[in-house]
Amino acid sequence: MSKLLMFLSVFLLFSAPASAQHQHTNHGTTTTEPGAAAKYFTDVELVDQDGKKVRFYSDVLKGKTVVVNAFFTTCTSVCPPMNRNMEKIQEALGDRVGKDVFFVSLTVDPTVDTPARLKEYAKKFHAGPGWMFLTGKKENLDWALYKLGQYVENKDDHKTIFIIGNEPTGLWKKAFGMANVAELLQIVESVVNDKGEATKTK
Amino acid sequence: MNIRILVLFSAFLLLSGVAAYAQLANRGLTAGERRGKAIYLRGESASGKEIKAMIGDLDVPASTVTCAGCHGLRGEGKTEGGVTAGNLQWANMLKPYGHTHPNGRKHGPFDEKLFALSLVHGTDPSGNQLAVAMPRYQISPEDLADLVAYLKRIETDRDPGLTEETITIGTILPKTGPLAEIGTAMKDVLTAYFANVNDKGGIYNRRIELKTIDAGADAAATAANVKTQIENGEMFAIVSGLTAGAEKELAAVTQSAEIPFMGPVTLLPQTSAQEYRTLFYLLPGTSQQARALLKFAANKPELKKSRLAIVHSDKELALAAVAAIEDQARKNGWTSVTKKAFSSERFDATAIAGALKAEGAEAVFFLGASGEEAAFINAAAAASWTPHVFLLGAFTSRGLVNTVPLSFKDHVFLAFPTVPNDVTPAGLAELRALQEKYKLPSGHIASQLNAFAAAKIFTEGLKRAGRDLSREKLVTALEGLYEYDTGVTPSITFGPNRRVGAMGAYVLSIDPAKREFVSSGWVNNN
Repeated sequence: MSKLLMFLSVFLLFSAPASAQHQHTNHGTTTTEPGAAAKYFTDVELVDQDGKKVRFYSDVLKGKTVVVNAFFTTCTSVCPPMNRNMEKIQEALGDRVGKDVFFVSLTVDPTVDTPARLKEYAKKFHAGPGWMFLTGKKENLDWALYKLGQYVENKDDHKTIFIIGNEPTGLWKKAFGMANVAELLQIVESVVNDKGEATKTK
Repeated sequence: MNIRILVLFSAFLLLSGVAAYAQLANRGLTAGERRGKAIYLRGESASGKEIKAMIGDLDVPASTVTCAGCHGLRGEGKTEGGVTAGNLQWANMLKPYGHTHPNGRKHGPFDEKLFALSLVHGTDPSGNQLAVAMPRYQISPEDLADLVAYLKRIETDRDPGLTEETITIGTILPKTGPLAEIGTAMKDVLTAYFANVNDKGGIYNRRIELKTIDAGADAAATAANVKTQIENGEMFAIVSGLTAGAEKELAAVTQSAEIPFMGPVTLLPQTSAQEYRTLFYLLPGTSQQARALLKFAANKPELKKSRLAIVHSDKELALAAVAAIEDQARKNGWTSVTKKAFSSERFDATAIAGALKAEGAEAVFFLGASGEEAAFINAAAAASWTPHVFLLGAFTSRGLVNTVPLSFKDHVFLAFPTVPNDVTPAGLAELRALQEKYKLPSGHIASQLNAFAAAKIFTEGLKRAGRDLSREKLVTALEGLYEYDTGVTPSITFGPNRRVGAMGAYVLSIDPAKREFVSSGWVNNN
């Protein structure tokens, strides 16, 4: 566990957006009206593995619990084991994926990673309907990655960190993408089950 | 010691070292090294048994987490995602003072036993745990011995056909049959082009040596001949070739051997960069040309929301174009598209024209054999019907320009992959100089130009790839070509997802009064 702790840091990325939201809440329940999170992430246009255009905030994050990572399809070293881990989590969560929690993999190499390539890659990892692979215009993708703390200058520098966030409550955690699946699952569950306590204004 | 002697002595040592390196680099791999290479690159054991890898508690075949994946094709090591995979070249592993890693981990030198421990148990020579991302492998002693044999050799291992002094390449041309003469013309140009490169010092001190592979009687023979050459002979890449009919077979052969193939002449390029990473084409095939033609049609205001008909024969070339036209029509938002197939034995121009007129077709893509398009246009004229007719230059007769009725002015459009104006004065001068220097005959100029362009782009790729050449580096260098001017073709652009250099087509219309072509310019597919 100590190894995991080294890599894992629980943090409140969006305490400001969350508190902004909580000013409109009643008895601890949360609202999903477009607030500071929408402003923070913005709605840049991205493209999924089916070639469908999606908006980063409205279509990908809004109202959802997400597990996000950054990768590229021609990566031969850390991406395959990292996405294999994602696949294992998908397997463990079964049909809750696409309902309680969504997976989002963003490419750091959009010029090479066309939707067709992403689709092929998704197949390799048996990605179900709740797992979205995103590409798009480089500047849009860079912006989305930047907002997630995953922007890198060189694709080989991409991170192996999963960002796990509950958009409605504003609780966001980070975990090492190649950690033990059971430990990763615990973290994902803790974010899925968050009731907004962690981010409540004191 | 006398300083001069010392200098001489160290120079001698250096030179003998260089010579030994060159000798090693030029030697082929031993059987054990070759087996080790298969393990290193693909995680495949010669025994046929699966090598298992464990990442954390994840248990996967070694073929999904190969050594080369993280440590590089040459064992040089690399950093990705904050994970540094070390340099595995044996000389580096054996450094007597050991290693200090960026994260502070320190250990002494490896030997074969310590290497085995690191691979199987995930510990370094000082007993420290390796990074989490490094899998532990369940590997047999035989496989381990092969792998070590290869790691001792990896630094000086080169791709096939590559030595310190030479780059051996092949070209695929018919030696007999109706196309033999064209084959000879192309071979002469290629031979001359590379002789000229060698004359000027070669590429980074390597001479290019060209072998000709016989295209054989049919597609199966072509594929078999190429396969044999790849397996027996040392061949770094294939440049140019007359390989029509064997497109799919050759794509499969070159893909499995991962051998670069630059510029085969064909109307049916296999363009999936994902599948056929090493396969590069210069000019658009029928389907790319058909797409360009449709994009051109879609931009004509008078054809907005018009009824589009595709009339086609049952030949493979025509069918490839039909699929492309349908797909592109969908992308361009064309809603009314009909298809009409005919077999060449029972082609009846009057009946087809009559039926399409009755349907109210306004734009007709006609994909038949040479001569049929003229019959169709004249049948339409006889029925006093004047649709816009779109044709692929490759399927039409030379005499078409003389037979188009006056009423079809600005109504007949053809796509061509290249036009005479692509040959610039500079490009022509370059070819002429070659022809003169090497006494080349001047016949079959179009094929000569094609071979010339392929040789030129290949040479440019080699220059950009650098002295530390590999097939991988050549492919990456070629992917970087952007609007490269060959002087004899449209400009050539490749990319990670692009394998056709000139992606689009020229569209020309026919002026029936003057009996000449009028250019509407180049239409880009992207």
